[in-house]
Parts: sequence; structure tokens; C-alpha cells
Amino acid sequence: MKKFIVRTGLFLALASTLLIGGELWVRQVPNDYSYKHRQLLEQRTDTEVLILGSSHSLFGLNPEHFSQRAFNFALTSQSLSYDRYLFERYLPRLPKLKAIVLPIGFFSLGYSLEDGIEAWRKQRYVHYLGYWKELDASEWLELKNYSTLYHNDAGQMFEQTKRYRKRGTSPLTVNTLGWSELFVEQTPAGLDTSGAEAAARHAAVPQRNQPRLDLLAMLETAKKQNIKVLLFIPPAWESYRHAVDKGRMQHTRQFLARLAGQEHVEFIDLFADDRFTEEDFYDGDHLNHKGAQKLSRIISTQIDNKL
Amino acid sequence: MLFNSLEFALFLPLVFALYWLIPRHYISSQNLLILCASYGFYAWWDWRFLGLILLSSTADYAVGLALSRSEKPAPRRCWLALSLIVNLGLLGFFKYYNFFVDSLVTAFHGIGVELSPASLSIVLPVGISFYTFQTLSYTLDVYHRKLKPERNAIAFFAYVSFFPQLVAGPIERARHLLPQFKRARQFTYEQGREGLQLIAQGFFKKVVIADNCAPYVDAVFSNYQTASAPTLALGTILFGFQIYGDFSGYSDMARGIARLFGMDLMLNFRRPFFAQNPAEFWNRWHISLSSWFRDYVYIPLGGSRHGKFTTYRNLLTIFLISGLWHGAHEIYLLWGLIHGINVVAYTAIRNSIGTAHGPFRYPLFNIAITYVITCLTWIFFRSSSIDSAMEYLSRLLSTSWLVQAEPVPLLLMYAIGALLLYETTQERPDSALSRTLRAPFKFAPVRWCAYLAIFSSAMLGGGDTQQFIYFQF
Repeated sequence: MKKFIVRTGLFLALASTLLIGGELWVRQVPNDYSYKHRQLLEQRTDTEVLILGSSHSLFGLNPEHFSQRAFNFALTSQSLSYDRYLFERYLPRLPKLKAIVLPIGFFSLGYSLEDGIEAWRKQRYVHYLGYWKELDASEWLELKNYSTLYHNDAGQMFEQTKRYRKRGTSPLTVNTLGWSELFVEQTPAGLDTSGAEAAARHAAVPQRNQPRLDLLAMLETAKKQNIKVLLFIPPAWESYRHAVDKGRMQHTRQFLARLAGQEHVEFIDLFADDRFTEEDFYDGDHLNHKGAQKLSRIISTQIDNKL
Repeated sequence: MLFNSLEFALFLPLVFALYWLIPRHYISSQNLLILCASYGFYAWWDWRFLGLILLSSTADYAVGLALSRSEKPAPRRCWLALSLIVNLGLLGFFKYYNFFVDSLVTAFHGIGVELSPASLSIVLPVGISFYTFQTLSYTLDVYHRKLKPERNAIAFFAYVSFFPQLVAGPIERARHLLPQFKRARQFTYEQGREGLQLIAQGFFKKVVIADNCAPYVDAVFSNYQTASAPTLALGTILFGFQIYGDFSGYSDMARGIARLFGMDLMLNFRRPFFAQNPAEFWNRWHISLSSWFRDYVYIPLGGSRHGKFTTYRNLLTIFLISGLWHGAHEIYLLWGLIHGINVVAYTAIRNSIGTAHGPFRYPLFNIAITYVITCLTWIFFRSSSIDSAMEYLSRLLSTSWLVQAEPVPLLLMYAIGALLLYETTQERPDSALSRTLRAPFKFAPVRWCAYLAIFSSAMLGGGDTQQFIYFQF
């Protein structure tokens, strides 16, 4: 038995060293999640405005065009529970924070990241943004929550790391202020097709209560810390606007307008704002560089004037 | 709890340590620990179904004791009937209720009578087909006086629920496994090493082969209407490897884990790709189920003792039941029937003209033809309905082969190649090729590197944990 235990222990120690070494090696490649974390901590003493939300603010709000020192911590498909997590996690480290900016689409009040094909992103929060503390007990024993190599295609990750070590290329899509520069002009798919597709995709999001509770909790925390909250419905192209569920949209508007009754909350509806033209959109519901510049200035002015 | 999960990686060493900390002459304590661990292992899925294992075990334990007290045939038959009713009743209700109700409705609809019975939404308890057959084999053996009834309740309950093979076999025989719960177990280094080797082998088959075949196979079978013939052929071939890697991988892990506890489970797969005819394929594939049907259905029906017609009828019967055992769906019945026809056809050819003539003289030809036939039948096993299987088959045979197939990941091809080479060395251990391939592994550093490579690829090669296919049966 002793020989068995010693040899098995030795083997497991060797294997674990190999796997942990591999894990550390691939984790050195920056991605949007790890990079934003690092950048925010570097800029934490100056940051006055924190931008949260999903792709609508990731591509649509460029902190360079804010008059305040802003940082964009929006991430693709980020739902309100993750906005809440990031806000509460980084709040103690942002001494100058005055306001947070949060886009709310007609689907946001029902959307959860754990739904559908984007669910894999949850492990990014666990691996790079400390989300493991939020996991349910039932998830503690899932290996994918500990190892990015296990969760992803290990072969591809090794290749990516080799490229990064050799040529410095990484899958990073954001700049030092957290804004993603990917959507330069307009998608080849066209605004009409992409807008209708996005609306159909968003219409499939079920109604649920938790995102509202997360939003209310964020507002409560912000109130206690004397932080202003700017909620906005992001601009959308007409193909998207025509295809959305009007009743649900109206319901979202009414809910946000009620929240704006609080002193520290401001709400602006830019859904059909005519300042945004065809040239400002990348696709039916996302802005391109030009549109991002426009939206960023509108939001920044709003913060200056109202909050 | 899956074998390829973190919870099992914690569970196994804990149970292993506790088990061997108990002095070896405290056999009952070790059995009790196995029983508790097995129930815990099962409850991890759904504790509510523990009641079914308990009911099945209690019924067969009591029937065994009752049979030992009855000498007259009539009461013995009654006790056996009781066991059959309890076990097959539970299996029938949980697995086949809706299938039989739907079939009944369709049959009555055919003669113009409309029925609208209640359709229940029944969850299939994992492993029910496996442990039901295992516990039934005990009662049947006791009834036929091939086995003495077990009086030690803990040993019997541990035999029925032994966690390494509880949910997906091998379907053990009481004659083989139960005595092992009655004698003192001793741990040896060789036994432990062999156990870990089997576990590693099983992991490789499951995680590297099966889980990596799955995306390709899923894509082909979901889009077979537009796939080219070579892609359809590759989808079928890879499904063969997927199901083999999945199921035999589980069996290897089960045997390896049992070995760590000083137990020996029966071999469930013996390199089925080397089968030279359909009958031999079933002597190499899911051996525990094939032999169960042979011993408890085929032989009692008369086996091959009453002429050709009875033999063929008996063969078709066991393959039809085997199909139904796999799932409550017409497609499994058809799959079983096709295998039955294959075996009957082969038996008829063997009996009339023999198999030592023409190309049948060449083992490689026999292996190839058996493999192709088996692959074609997998289409029925994997398809969602008979119609889609027929369409798949017709596209495979009627569309052009002069196009390129969807590419298979290179690493998967290497892994399958490695598996086939390994199986060749097992099948023909004395051949020059096998000796050459085995030679480097005599050196410990090479062996350790191979173990590390297998361990790493099993940890990282499959992405998210996938369920085992046979859990659904």
C-alpha cells in the first residue's frame, strides 16, 4: 500500500505541476476581462465615471469623449447581475467615483448571461474577475470554474500563448479606457437584416424578476455611497425599432421613468433619437466609432448637467 | 456523480482511504462502507430514486431466502414470479410506460378506435436497466439452484449497488461478484497499478475519443439532409468510435475502480473492432448484457438444441429484447432486429456452406465486412427516428462519393490511431508489431511520460464534462 500511495502521490504531484504550469502559462495572455481589471486598478484613483452594461456600451461609449475621467467596464452580453457584481466589487477601490452609466435595452430586465450560447462567458468572470466568490455551492466542484485550459480548447490556448510570446498578438479588443474599437464603420450584413435579427434574438429573452432586483440593489448601493446613476435606452436603427416588442419596450420605459423619480437617478431615452443617423450605426442595435463619439458626448453632457 | 468530475475525484480517494483503513477481517464493515458510499454516489443524481434500488434489493433478498425454504416447484415459481413482477414492473413503468401506451393508441387508431389514456411525464432513473438485470440474475440463479441464497443482507445490498458499476454496468452476475463480498480483500501494489491503468485507459477513451467525436457526429446527424456521402460515412464511423469510447471507457473505469477496492468485475468489451462475424461481435461488445440474454433468455428458450428454425427464432427474440432494453423506441427495436437478422444470416451461411471458402478465409476481409455491417447498423442506433435513419442510409448510398468529406480534427485522428494500435497489441500480443510497440514501455521514464500524456490529455482533451451515453439506458 505504501509503495502505491508514494508512487501515486508522486505521479499526481508531477501531473498537477504540469497542469498548473500550463494554466499559469496560458493565463499570461491578456484578454478583455483581465485587461479591463488591470487597467481599472491602474486608473482607480482618477476614475469618476464607471460605464457598465453589455455590447451597447462596450462599443457605444468611448471614455475619451467624456469630459469626466471615465472607464468603460462593459463586456459583451454582460447582464445586470454581473453589472451589479462589478459595481459592488470595484466600488471600494474607486475613491473618486461620482457616477455610473448603465444602458437598459428592452430585453435587459429579463436577460441573464447564463442563458444560451453566451453562458461560457461566466467562466471568464470566474477566472479573471474574482466571480468564484459568487458561485453557488453546487458549482464549487465544477472543474471549469478553476481551469481555463479545461474550460476551453487547450490546444488552441497553447497556440494562442505561443503567438503571444513570439509576436505579442493577443485576443484583446479594448483600449486602455476599456472601449472596444472593433466596430469601425458598418457591418456588411447591412442595418436592415442585422436589426431584425437582433430584435428577434432579444425578443426570445424570457421575462424574469432577478435582473430588476439586481438593478434596484445597485441603485440602493449607489444612493448610500452618494453616487449618481445614469440609465439610458441605447439608440437603435429603425429595422430594430420596428421589430421590437412594443409592449415590452413601453413597460421598460415606464419602469425606468419610475426609477428616475429618485434624486440620484437620471434616465434618458435615446431609442429613437433623431440625432443618430444611418452613418452612426455599425448594425441594427450597435453604434460605430462615429456613433460612439456622439453618444459619449450626449451622456457626458447629461452627467455634467443633471447629476 | 460522473467518473470524469471533480466531485468523484474527491469522493474516490476518500472512500478508498476509509475502506483500507478498516482492518481486512472486518469484512462487514468494509461492505457497509461500500453500501453507504454507493447509495451516496447514487443519491448525488437524485436521492428520490434510492427507494427503487432499495425496493429491488429487498424484494430479491427476501425472495432468495424464501426460495431457500421452499422445496416444492409451485411455491418456488410463485416466489420467482414475485421477483419478476417487482423488478420488471418497476423497469416497465419507469422506462416503457409511455412507449407501450403510445404504441397501444397507434394500434387502436389503425383499427378505427380512438383511445386517449393519460400520458405521464416519467423521469427515467439512471442505471435502472443495469441494476434490475443484475439483481434479477441473482434470483434466477437461486431459483435454478445454481447459487445458494445470500443471508448476509449487507453483502447482498452492496452487491446490487456497488458504485463502480451501478449506473452503466458491467451487469455483474451474483455468482461472480457476490462471493467477492464474502471474502477478505487484500490490497497489492500490482492490483492498484492495474486499477489506475484501467481508469486512465477509460478516461482516454471517454474524454479524448468519445467526447471529441461527439461534435462531429452531432453535426452530421443533425444535418444529414445536406451532408455529402463521405461526410455521412465519416459521421457513422466516428459514431462507432464515440459509442465504443464512451461505453467501454466507462466499463474500463468501473473495472479499474473496483480493482482499487480489491474487487474484480467482468470484462465488458474485448476489442470489438476485431470481430470477424456478427456473432463474434456480440461476444466482444457489451459482453455482460449479451451473456445475460444468452443465459437467461436464449438457453431457457431452447437455445440451438431444437433445430434451425427454433435457433433462428431464439436469436431474433434475444436481439429484439436487447433492442428494447436499450430504449423505449421503435428505432431500438429495429436496431435489435437488424442485428438479429445479421447473426441469423451469418449462422445460416456458416451452417450451410461454411465460412472457410472464398474471401471468408481471410481474417482481414471478415473483419472489414463485419465492421462495415456494424457501422451501417449504428445509423439506426443514433438516428432520432426510423424515417431519418432510412433517409440517412439512402443519402449515404445514393449521393456522390466524389466530393471531399468535412475534415475531422487531426488530433482526433491521431488519438483514434493510437487507440487502434493499442488494441492491436492487446489482440495479437505476440506479433512482431506488438512486441516492437511495447518495447519502449519497458523503461520506467517512457512509461511515466506516457501516463502523464494520457492524464493530461484526459484532463484537457474534452472540454466540458459530457454525460455517458449509456446512462440514458
